[in-house]
Amino acid sequence: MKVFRQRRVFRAVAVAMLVTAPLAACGGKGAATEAGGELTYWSMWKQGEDQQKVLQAAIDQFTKTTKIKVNVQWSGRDVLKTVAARLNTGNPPDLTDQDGGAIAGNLAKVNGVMGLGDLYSATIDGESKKVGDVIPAGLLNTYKTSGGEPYIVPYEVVGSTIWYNAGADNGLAAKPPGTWDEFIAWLDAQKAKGRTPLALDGDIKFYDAYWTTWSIIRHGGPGLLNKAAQDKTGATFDDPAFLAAAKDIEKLIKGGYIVKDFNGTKWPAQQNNWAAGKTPTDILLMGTWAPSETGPQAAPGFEYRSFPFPSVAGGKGNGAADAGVIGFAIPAKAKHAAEAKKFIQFFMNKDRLAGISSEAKNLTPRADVAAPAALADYQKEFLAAGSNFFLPGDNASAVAPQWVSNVWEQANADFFNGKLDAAGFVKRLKDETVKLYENG
Amino acid sequence: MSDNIAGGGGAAAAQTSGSSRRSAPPKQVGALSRQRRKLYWPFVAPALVVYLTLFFGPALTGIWISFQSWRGSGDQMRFVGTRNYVRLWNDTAFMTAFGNSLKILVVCGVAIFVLAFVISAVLREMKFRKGLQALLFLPYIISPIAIGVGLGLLLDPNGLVNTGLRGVGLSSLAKPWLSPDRLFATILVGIVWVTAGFYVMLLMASADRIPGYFYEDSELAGANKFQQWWYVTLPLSWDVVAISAVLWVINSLKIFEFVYAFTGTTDAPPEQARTVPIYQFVMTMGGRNPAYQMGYGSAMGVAMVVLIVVLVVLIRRVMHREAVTF
Repeated sequence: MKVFRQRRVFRAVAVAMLVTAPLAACGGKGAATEAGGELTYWSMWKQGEDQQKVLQAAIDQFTKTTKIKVNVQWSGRDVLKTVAARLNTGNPPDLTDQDGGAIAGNLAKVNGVMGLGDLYSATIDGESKKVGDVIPAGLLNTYKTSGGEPYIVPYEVVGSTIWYNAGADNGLAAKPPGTWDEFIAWLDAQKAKGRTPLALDGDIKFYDAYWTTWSIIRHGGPGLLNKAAQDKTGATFDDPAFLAAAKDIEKLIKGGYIVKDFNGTKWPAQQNNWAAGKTPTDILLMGTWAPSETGPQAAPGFEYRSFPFPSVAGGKGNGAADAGVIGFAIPAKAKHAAEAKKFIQFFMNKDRLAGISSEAKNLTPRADVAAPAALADYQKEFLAAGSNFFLPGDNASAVAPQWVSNVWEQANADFFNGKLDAAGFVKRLKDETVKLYENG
Repeated sequence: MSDNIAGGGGAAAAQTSGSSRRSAPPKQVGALSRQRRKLYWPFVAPALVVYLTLFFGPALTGIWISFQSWRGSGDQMRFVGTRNYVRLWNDTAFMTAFGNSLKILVVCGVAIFVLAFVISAVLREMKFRKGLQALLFLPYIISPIAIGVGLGLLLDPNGLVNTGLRGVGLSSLAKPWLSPDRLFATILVGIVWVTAGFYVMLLMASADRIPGYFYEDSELAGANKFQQWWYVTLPLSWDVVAISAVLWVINSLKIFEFVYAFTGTTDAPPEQARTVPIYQFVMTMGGRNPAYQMGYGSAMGVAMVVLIVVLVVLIRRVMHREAVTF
C-alpha cells in the first residue's frame, strides 16, 4: 500500500503543479499598473521598419513625459486577424493600426472599433490645434461608426498615381498629359520611338485593375464601382461610364503600349525593370510606395515624379484623388482607451508626425508637414482634390471581398489578356455579379 | 497492492515448481488482468483526451460550422442548414478549383508513379544509387516556398530556362511559361518534379527487401528487364505501392503552399491556378481583405474529407491483394 500512497501523493502534486503553473507565470504582470497607467499597442509594423522606428521613438518619449507604460507588440501586417480574435474573448489591445480598408473589413464590420469623436475634438499635444483640424474630413468619409463618429486617426496617406522618371528623356517633366487624348497622343509618340511606355506586373490582378478602376472613377465618379460591386441586380453596370471606361482601357491593351510579356512574369520583375531601365518603359501606375519599393533597383539618376491619371471629357470624377489611409484605431472594449487616445494626441503633433515623412518617406495627412521629395507631386494632387477622395479600388474589397476576388479580378485578368473586348468586359462583370449574389 | 504483486509472484513460482497447476493459472490471470484493467484507463486516458480534444473535437466543430454562417470569433453564428453545400454546387469558382485538385490528383499521380517506377528500376542497376537517390529526394525537403519563388525566376520569359533553350538553338521552345494560359500546366510539371523523389524512395526501399535470387532465377528463365520488374519487383512490393497510392491521394488533395508560392503575393492566386485548399483560404482568411466566410470554408473542408475517404476506400479495395511473404 505504501507504493500506492506514494503514487497518489505524486499524482496530486503533479496535478497541482500543472494547474498552478500558468497562474504563477501570470503573477509578474499585475504589478506594472501604477503611476501613469499603461496601454497595450499591437502594431502592423515589424521590428526594424522605418515606421516602427519612428513610432518607437515617440513611444519612448511618451512614456517619459506621461509615465504611461506602452506594452507594444510589433506584430506585422496580419495584426488585425489576432485583434479580431481577441475581440471575442473581451481583452483586445488598447490600440492598433493598419490600412483603413483592413480596419473597416476586419474590425468595424463586426462593430469592433470605438468611435473617436471626442478625440477629434481634443487638442494635439503641444499645439493649439485639434486633431480634427489637421486631418482632411474627406479621408474619413467611409470610416465612420453607425453613430457617425470617425473610428480611424490616419497618420499616413497612400494612394496611386502615375510614376515616371523625370531624369529620362520622355518629355513628361516638361508637360505631363492632362487629358486622356493628350495621354494617348503621348503614348503614340513614345510607341513611334519603339517603346512600350506602360510598365505593368500583370500577374497581380490588383495592378491590372488599377487602370480600369481609375478610368471608371474618371468617367463615373467615386463610389460608382463600389455601388456596382454590391448591386445584386447588376443594373449599375448599365451606367454608360462603365462602357466608356472599358473602351479607353481597351485602347491601351490592344494598342501595343503595354510592356511585352507583362503577364508572363512574376512581380516585382516589371516594376524593377522599369526602374532599372531594363525595359523600354516610361510610366508605372502604382501606389505611393513605388519609390521606396523600386528605389533599390532604380537606375542612377532616376528621379521619381508623378502626375495624376488623365481627365476624360465629361467625366464625373475628374478632380478625384486616390487616397487611402493607414492609421490608428481603438478596438471596442479596450480597457485603456483613455491612455490610447492620449498617445494618439501625442503622436499627431507636427514634429513627431514629421518622422513619417522624413524618416519613413511617406506622406502624412497634415498639409503642414512637407512630403518627401518623391511624393511632392502626389501631395499636390492630394491637396488639390480637397475632399474629393476615393479609396484604393473604390473600397470594393472592403465591402465585397468575394466579389473582388471572384468577379472583378478575374474579369480584369481576362480583359488584359485579350480574351474580352470592352463590351464583353462590362457584360461579364454584370453577369457574374448577378450570378455571385444569386448563389451567395 | 504490493501484497497482490507478491502473491502473483508466488503463484508464478509455484507454477514453475509444478505443484498446483490447476488452481494457479486462473488466480494468476485474474490478478494480472485486474491489474491491467486498473491501469487501462490511466494509460489510455491521456492519449484519448489529446485525440478527442485536438483532433476529433475540431473535426466535429468543423462539420457543425459548415452548417452556419459565421465570420469567425467575435461573430454570432447563424444556422443556415445546407445552404453552404448548395452554394458549393453552384459556385463555378469552387468547381474550377475542385477540377484543378482532381487534375493534380490524376495527371500528376500518373506521371509521378510512372516516373517513380522507371527511376527506381533504373537506379537499382546504377553505381552511385544512394547519392542519386538523395539528389532526387532533395526537392521534397526544400521549402516549397523557396521552390515556388525559385521556379518563378527560372521560368521568367528571360529566365534561365528560356535563355538556355535559346542558347542551344531551340528558340521555338522558349515560351512565356507563367502566362495565364500555361500557368496551370507549368504548376503540374512543378508538382511532379517536387514529389516524384519521395515515391522513388518508398518504392526503392521496398524493392531493396527483395532477395537477389529472385532476379537471378528470373534471369535464368530468360526474363528481360521489363518482365523482371513485372513478375518480380511489382508483385513483391505491391503493399508499398498501395500505401504510396493512398498517401498520394491524401497529399495531392491538400496541395496548397506550392501553388501559393508559385503564383502568390498577398493577392488571391488566379482562378485557373486555384486548388480547393487555396480557394478555401481565399474565402476565409486569405487575400487583401479576407472574406471571413468560415461556414463556407468549412463546407469545402468537409467535402474534401468525404472525397478523400471515398477515394482511399476505393483504392484499398481495388489494390487489395493477398500479401506475398518472402
